[in-house]
Amino acid sequence: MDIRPETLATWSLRSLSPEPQPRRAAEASLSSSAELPGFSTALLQLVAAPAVDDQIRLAAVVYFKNHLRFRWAPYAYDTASAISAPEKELIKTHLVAFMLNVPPRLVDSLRRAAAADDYHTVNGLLGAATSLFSKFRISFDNNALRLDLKYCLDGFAAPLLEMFLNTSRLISSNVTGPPETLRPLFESLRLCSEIFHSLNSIELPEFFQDHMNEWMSELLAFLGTSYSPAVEAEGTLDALRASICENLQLYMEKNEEDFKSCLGKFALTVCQLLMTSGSSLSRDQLTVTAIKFRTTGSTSVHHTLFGSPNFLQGICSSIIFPNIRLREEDEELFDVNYIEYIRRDVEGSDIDTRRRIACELLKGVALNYREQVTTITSMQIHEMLKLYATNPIKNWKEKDSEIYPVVALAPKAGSSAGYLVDVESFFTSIIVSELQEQDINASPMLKAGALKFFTVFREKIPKSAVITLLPHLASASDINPFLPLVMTNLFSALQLLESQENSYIMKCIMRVLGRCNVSSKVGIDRLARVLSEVCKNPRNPTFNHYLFESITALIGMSCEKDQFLICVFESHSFPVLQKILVDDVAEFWPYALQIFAQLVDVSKPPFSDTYLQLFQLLLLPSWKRSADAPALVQLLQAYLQKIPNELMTEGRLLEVILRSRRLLLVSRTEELEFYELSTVVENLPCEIIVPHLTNIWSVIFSLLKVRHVVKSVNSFMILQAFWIPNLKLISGAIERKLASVAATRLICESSVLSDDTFSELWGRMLDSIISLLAQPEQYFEQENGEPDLPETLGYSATFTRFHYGGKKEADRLKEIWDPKGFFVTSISRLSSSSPGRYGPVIHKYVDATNQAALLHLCTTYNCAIV
Amino acid sequence: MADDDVPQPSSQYRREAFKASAVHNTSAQRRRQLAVAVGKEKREALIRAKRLCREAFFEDNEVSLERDMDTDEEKTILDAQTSQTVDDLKSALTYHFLLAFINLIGLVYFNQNISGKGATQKKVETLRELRRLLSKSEVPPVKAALQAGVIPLLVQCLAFGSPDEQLLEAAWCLTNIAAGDPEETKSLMPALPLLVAHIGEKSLVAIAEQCAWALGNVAGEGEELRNILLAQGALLPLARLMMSDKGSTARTAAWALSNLLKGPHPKAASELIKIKGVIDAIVQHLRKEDDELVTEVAWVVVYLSALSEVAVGLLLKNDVAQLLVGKLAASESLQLLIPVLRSLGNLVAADGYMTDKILIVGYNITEQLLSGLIKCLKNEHRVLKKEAAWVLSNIAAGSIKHKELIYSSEAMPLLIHLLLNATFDIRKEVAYTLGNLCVAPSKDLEQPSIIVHHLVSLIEHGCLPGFVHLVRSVDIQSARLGLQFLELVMRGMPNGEGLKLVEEDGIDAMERFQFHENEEIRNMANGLIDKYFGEDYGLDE
Repeated sequence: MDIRPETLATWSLRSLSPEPQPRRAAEASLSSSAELPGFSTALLQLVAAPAVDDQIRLAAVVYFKNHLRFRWAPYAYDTASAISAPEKELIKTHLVAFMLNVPPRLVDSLRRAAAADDYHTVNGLLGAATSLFSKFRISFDNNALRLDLKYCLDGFAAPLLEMFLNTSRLISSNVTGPPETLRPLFESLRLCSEIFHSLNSIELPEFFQDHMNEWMSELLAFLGTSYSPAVEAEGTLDALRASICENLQLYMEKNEEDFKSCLGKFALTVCQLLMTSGSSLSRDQLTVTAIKFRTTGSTSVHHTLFGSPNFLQGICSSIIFPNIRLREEDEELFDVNYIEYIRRDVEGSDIDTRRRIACELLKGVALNYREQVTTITSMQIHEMLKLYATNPIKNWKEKDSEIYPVVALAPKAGSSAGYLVDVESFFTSIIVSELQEQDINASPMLKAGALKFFTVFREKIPKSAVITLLPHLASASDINPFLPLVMTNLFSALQLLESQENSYIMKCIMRVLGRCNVSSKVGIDRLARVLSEVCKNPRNPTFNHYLFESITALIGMSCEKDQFLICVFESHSFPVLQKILVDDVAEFWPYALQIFAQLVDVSKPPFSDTYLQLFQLLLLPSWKRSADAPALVQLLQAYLQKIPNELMTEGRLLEVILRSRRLLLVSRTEELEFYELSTVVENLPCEIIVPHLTNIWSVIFSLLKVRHVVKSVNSFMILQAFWIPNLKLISGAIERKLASVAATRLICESSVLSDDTFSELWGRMLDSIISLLAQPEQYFEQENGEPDLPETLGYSATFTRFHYGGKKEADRLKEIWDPKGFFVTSISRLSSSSPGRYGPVIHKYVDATNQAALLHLCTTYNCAIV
Repeated sequence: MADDDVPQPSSQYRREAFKASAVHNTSAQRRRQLAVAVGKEKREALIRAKRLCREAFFEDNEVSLERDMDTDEEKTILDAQTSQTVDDLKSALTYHFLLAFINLIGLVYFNQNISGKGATQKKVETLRELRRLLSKSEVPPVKAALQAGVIPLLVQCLAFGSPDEQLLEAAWCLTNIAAGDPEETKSLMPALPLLVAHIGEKSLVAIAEQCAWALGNVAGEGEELRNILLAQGALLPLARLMMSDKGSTARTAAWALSNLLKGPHPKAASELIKIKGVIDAIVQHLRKEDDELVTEVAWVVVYLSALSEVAVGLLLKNDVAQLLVGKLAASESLQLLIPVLRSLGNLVAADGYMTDKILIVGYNITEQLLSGLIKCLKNEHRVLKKEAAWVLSNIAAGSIKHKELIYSSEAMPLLIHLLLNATFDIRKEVAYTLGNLCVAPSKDLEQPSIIVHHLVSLIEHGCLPGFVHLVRSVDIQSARLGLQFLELVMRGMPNGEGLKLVEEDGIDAMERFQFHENEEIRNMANGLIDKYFGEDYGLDE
């Protein structure tokens, strides 16, 4: 293997390749050459070479970091070879020098670039600084953060102001210049303004307080001055203004006292800005932040600044309602990117849209001036209604603009606040007509709004009104009669442009399949087709999750009842599932394995060859991937329960056991191996497993030795040093039961422990069992609702247990239902066999509180220790 | 906030491991204030950090406070006069040197003193003139003096064995130069070793005091100069000076010390507390009626209690808490109340001993402290309100009995009013207090249980919007506090009423964190929404 930096560079680059083949090859090369001495230093050389492409350097440095993590000080029993001592020294010396060299001296470079009017570089540097400083905005305040901030302020506060003033001067000497020249300058100011925000986030720094007037008059100037239409139309200026508004918001909230004197001027300027606000998209962010600033103003102690009747009327008619109105961009969004629209409008993630924020302002103003605002608003709604009535087809937006604030301002259940309108009459007069319209494609946005109204106010609307609407909606309580129609519609909805991976539709399919018996082959076929499509490029984890859920739901609801359907299912889905395994679509492995497990579960032996081949999976190194392991365990379990003897006779079981032995010794995989081993032990009849037990024990004992839990391995030492102290730490209801029953049987049934020489051990063991049993029961009810995971679902392979196909964890000791009772009766039986013997032992070795607990248990179960 | 000039404890800012499924309420913890100050020292603190010396400690009838010279014209004249005087001083010193030389010759050859007295006289007079110029106006002509090269001359005047009057005048000049801009303060660097030397026990008290003043100004400038002073051994002689029985001397020394102790590094504080007699001097001074002295000493206590655990233990053992509570109850002086409150807050925040062993509910001291805090909450002054709310929030983190005491006191209506109407920083402290009143103390990491009737009463008094407002705050700490309270409401309000209450406005407020960059707060908000307003919410109704 060759570890010249050039070779490493090639591999690093390929390791970023979207194509799996070259990527895997490069990863393999890297990991095999990692064994060579000098690898880490060669990698570092590559990282430090400024001539090399940044992308490669980044890939290399990430690999370098992981390399050090695993090999700087590996565990003794880990297979990876350690980095040699001289190489470590070399890394130590170079790394520091390297880190000092890499980040260019920011302030100096900035000054140089600014002096040369090189605003391309200036903005690049400021951009870097912006992301660097953003941590002061989003982190919780603590001393370490403050020390960092202090350091940054010392170095950056003054240059920042200098930079802002210089750029601002440059702009004023260039006011008439074309947008192309002004754009980078405004952009530069915007970045400065962002940095301003970050540096001021924790508290008002001394420098900024000393220079507040300079800063504020600059900020005010950019809010108040208008530029040529071309410049105004270009978004950069508005982005700067938006950022300024955020700063004002910050100051108004946190530095109220110092900022008070400026507030009036700013309030006025921002208001004027809003009233002249164009409706172009570039204005959006500005409008949103500016209105937010006004909202904070209207709810703050200074609200009187905003209180005059004229002012209120002005705010409502010039700011709030124009911003509530749908614009062309919204219509476009509705047509083109419906997911975004749903997210914003229906699911309420519209906190930062113009419409929502305008409503927030309405709410804010209403806080102190409710009556006035209600009057103004109802008048406005009335006006719009009239306008709509004159020409419903053309003026549908008017209607939308009246529905929106009613929904947005809906007081939530139990609230004292009144409704903007009378809901019931508003519903019957305005909403119902919309929903009952025959042409479902007419004014779709208005329908979406009406539907939203319906869902928001469903509790307020009488049942009779709802029932009449049902045929118009696809959400009946009992959908069986409509089932075929529903399914066809849903699947054809998936064919729509931009809707192929619509997770809302897939979720709906999942729900239907989970509740209704769709005994048609169509469903299977269609799902398999969708699956084979997404396998090519898994990109929407939410969609995929619901897709697999749908498949398991289908197996669960249909196949279990009809063996014939399994064959149908196999023939349709096996090719795709096998493709997943063969092509190693890592994201889908956990899902595919679970489906196989489910299929093994529902199938009746003898199994076809396909299933037997599948068993080989369990012998692959795939156990290494932690996301797959739980699914593999399910699969193994399924096999063991179905065809234990076949597996035994073919010697496959032995293979499984031998392999686990190997993997147990590697720290990273040991937990998974315990998982696997316990599956084996649990699911096989005793006579099959006994011959292998010695084998397994020796592995576990040597592991204990490695972990320095016990020095020499002998079973009493294990009791003393490992079992007894750790017993009470066990958690989980089933695990606790298991442990207490095992320990009880040990002390009550083992002939060795009944010997007098071991009475201390016996007593201590008893003590531990009582501690374990005395702990409060913690039963965590498994939640019965659907696990709704989309937010946390990432893009890497993770294991998510199916809701529809999943199994509950089995209690391995069904015959003993009450471990406490079992314990007390066992002890009592034992003591009665040799009365008077155990009393003193208990007295001597069992903790006083545990003695009391034991006594309590005895009375509860009406037993006695004699 | 910005007035946190007082560097606080090397505080452990505990953050609990956070699970989305179980939102822990962390508010029931004592909170120390943070040691690193970013903001500017506010006015009342600024007066403290550096001070001009305009009146002599000793009898000097010539010094009269002249009218401030603020116009540009007068400023120019003043500057010119200053430069001239520095030049005069320079020649006086050269002349003095010459004379001394001549004198030496006279002594050797003629066995008689040729001159001496007159030259020294001249020098001292020039120095005094300079000192007057430097004390005259609000903005002393420091720049002109520095430009004229005054520092080496003053250093020369501080030489050992110089006449007392000369030392005094030179130290005074330096004091006022050090009261200027950072650069001006730093210019004192060459004089520092001599100034430190002159606060030793052999010096005249007045001189030691004046030098301490100059050093206090230097220490007030910043961490860098503080470290230099500490390295030059200023701590011990200043501590000894604070033990003086003379009120003004002890006061000046205490003030200089408090400047020297300012963190964030706790070393000076932990060294000071080890010096023998310091704690006795503190206790002794705190017993006095001299408000100004007590104020300065209380500032020393502020820094000690903030930065040193050992100091906290010693202060508590020596009944300093009782003395401070006494002052809090008796005094109406803003200048005094601020450090007293801050010290008490630090003591309560630093050590459970304070709430567990001293502020026992039912003891007189506890009642006294509570009424003192209520007095401060009612005060017009923002800082007092804020500090009082902070102290109260830490007491509210104590036992159930403490919570009940506060809950049933006159403080409640005040706190509720402040939560809804005060400025941001006060609101935040008040919110901590109210939040703490609603959770029972818990020892382990388990979710603390809720004191339902406190919570219900807060909600009945309309507190919820105040907390929702916090959730919307740009200040992320406040936002978290708001979220924690919402969690209490949803979990704790009887009959599931909490959900309805929060649904009103709280969900919207929480939604802003859905994609927030701060992971903890994002998980917290999303976890709450999922847990309480998941898919099935509202279906059962």
